[in-house]
Amino acid sequence: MKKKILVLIFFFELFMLASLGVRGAWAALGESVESIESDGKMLSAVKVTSKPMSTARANYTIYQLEYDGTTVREYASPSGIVFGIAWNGLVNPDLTALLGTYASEYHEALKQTPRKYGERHLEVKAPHVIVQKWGHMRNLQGRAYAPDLIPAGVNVDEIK
Amino acid sequence: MKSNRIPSKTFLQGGLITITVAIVLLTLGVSQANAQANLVETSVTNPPATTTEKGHFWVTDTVQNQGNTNSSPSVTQYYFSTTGTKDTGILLSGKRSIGILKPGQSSRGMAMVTVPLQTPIGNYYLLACANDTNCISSAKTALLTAPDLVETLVSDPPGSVSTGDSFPVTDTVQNHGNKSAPTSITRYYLSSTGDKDSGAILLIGKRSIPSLTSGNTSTGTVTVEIPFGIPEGTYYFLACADDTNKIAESNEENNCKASSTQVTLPLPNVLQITVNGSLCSANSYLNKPCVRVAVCTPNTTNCQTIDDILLDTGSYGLRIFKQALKVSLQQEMIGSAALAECVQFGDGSSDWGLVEIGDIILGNEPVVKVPIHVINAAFGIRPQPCSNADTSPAEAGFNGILGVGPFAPDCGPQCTSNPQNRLYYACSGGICRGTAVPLSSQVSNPVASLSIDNNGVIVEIPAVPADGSTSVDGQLLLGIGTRSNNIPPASVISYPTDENAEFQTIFNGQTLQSFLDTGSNGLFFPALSSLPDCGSIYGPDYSGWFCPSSTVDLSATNQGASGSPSGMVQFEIGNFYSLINDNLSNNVFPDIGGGFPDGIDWGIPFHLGRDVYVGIENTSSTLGTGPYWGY
Repeated sequence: MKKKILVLIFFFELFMLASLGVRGAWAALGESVESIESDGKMLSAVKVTSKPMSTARANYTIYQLEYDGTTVREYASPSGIVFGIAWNGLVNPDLTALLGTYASEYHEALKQTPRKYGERHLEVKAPHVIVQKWGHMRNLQGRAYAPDLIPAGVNVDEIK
Repeated sequence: MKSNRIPSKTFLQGGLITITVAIVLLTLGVSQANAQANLVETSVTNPPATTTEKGHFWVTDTVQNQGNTNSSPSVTQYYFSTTGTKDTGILLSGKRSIGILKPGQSSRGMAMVTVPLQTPIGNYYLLACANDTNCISSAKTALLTAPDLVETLVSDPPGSVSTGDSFPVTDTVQNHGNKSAPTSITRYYLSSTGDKDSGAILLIGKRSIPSLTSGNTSTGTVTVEIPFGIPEGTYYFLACADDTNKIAESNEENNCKASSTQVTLPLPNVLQITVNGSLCSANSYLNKPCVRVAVCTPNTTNCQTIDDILLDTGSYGLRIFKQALKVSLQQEMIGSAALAECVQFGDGSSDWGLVEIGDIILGNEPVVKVPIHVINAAFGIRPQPCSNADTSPAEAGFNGILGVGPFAPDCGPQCTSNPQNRLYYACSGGICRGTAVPLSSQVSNPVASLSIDNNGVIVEIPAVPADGSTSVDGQLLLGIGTRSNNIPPASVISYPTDENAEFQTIFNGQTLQSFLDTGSNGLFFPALSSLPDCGSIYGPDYSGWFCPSSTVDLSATNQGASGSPSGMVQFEIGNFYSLINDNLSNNVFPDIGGGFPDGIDWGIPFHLGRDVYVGIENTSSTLGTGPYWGY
């Protein structure tokens, strides 16, 4: 199933590169994909290690990139705003960069979140962002989303 | 011609006469020279009626020169002999020097003699031997006595023990000899025959016995420990008096006494699992499976056992907090830099520290040498993924983790060429940078390094009642189908996994990625409307767990990573809040679960009452080729 998606993504990338001119796009949660495309400062800060790929859905676009060995998928609304981020890989990515302006409230909420001994998942609920981590060795996963930014008709569970 | 060949008779006769005269003269001459001294013992005193090894006493004896010329100076030696003859005698230390004796002259004198060690008990004549040749025997004998330490009582051992276990023993030593025994050491053995033979195994622990006068006893209790490396089997327990053989005893064959009952040591591939039991630290979190491992300085017998190690089929490799580690290990190097690792777990926690090579003992298996992770948040400058690294066993909830999932190295091929893998770091002077790491240097599941039992593990934990149990003990068997105790029954189905140790579960109409994990303490899966989160009812302390109004029966279908085989699993989810608060003394619960964003985590409740087989990658068993989960 995953392989099929990847193949799909690859062809969409070709399509997007050709028709839409998407290249090297990366944006933090809540930011605009379009605006970040030209933001060389942010790009260097997060060390995107491969070209992002994108695929279009009915009411959002997924941009996939490799980020320090972790596969990160950004969910952008039709207006280009990143409303959700999902990832999986050997380690969780550095959320400080990925969460952008939401990072400080995430870190504050993380401090208030009690440790869940014996569990393989974590949910951090901040006022404007929710971060979930789960998984096990060799396949750590997670997602972060800003509930206020989720386009109508999009289920949170689609961010994965 | 003929006459020429025969000498004349006259010549012959004359020659014979000449020879005869010469012989007579020679004989006379010898007779004159043989007028020599002849030293003879004419008296010796009796020895004391009793003596002991190292016992000493005075001897008075008389030597007379019964020859016809002066004797040379000589030495008189003394012997103990049970027969009265020197050829069976035991030389006593002590002698008497005799000067020149004229013919007929006697020398009467005294000498102090000492009975040597190792002289057997018995009745001995005292011999005095002039010039160590001509002996006289005493009229009476000396009885040689000695202490004789005998174990008269030994307590019975437990019915079964594992290596590394300790148990108390009580024994009594009595001196059956007729002489006081000085202080001695009693030691303890396991023996399959009941005798202290070449196969007897010395246990750790000993008892110091005070000096015992004849007939007296010493009773005491000590704790003995079963060392590692003992073959499985059934043994008698032995207590052996004067086991360092410090005392010369009249009977050296009666020091040991065997227990009346025997103790069984299991096959070497067994580790005890206690879920919230004796191998777990106090106040452990719910549903926590604990094991014991032994860690040794490489290539030495400098070992320690460490309890409160989380048994985790959801990870690979042994990780131990530096605070719990007493033995020194050998640093794993990448070139001239020290190898360090940062691992993250699904709950968002992380562990940081050096990778060091240790000799690991699992159960009673032979030592395996593997890189292990020494968790130490204080080491060097932590990289970003370990910014929240656990600082102590108390913070983490365990002394360490034994990762026995279906892979050998913890990272695998993803870390062998990419230095930016964000798990492994090469550190110099506390400054660390990302590094690629060959598989052989990665922290690795020690089971995969065993010589025989390297193809996986079996987790066996009994079922517990729905309202829980204080604790439950099970076992981890190493190897699948490698010994008499780990052969899978035909009913076991194995499910191949993907490269992340995941298979699939069809649940609530969805096909989800899933995994088995003893390191998870509940059943975690995407929430259903019938399973509200406890946090919404009972507050944030309970969030993450399901709190249905009554227990919900559920089922799911597990299948291999590529769709087959498949099999149904039935399970129950109860109200977490009620279960734990209505059963405050219980720590192990079979019906607890909570939400999981995507996928299913089959934690400890899945394992209660179900033997789970974990097949390691690139190995095979009758269940197939790993990686797989089986049950």
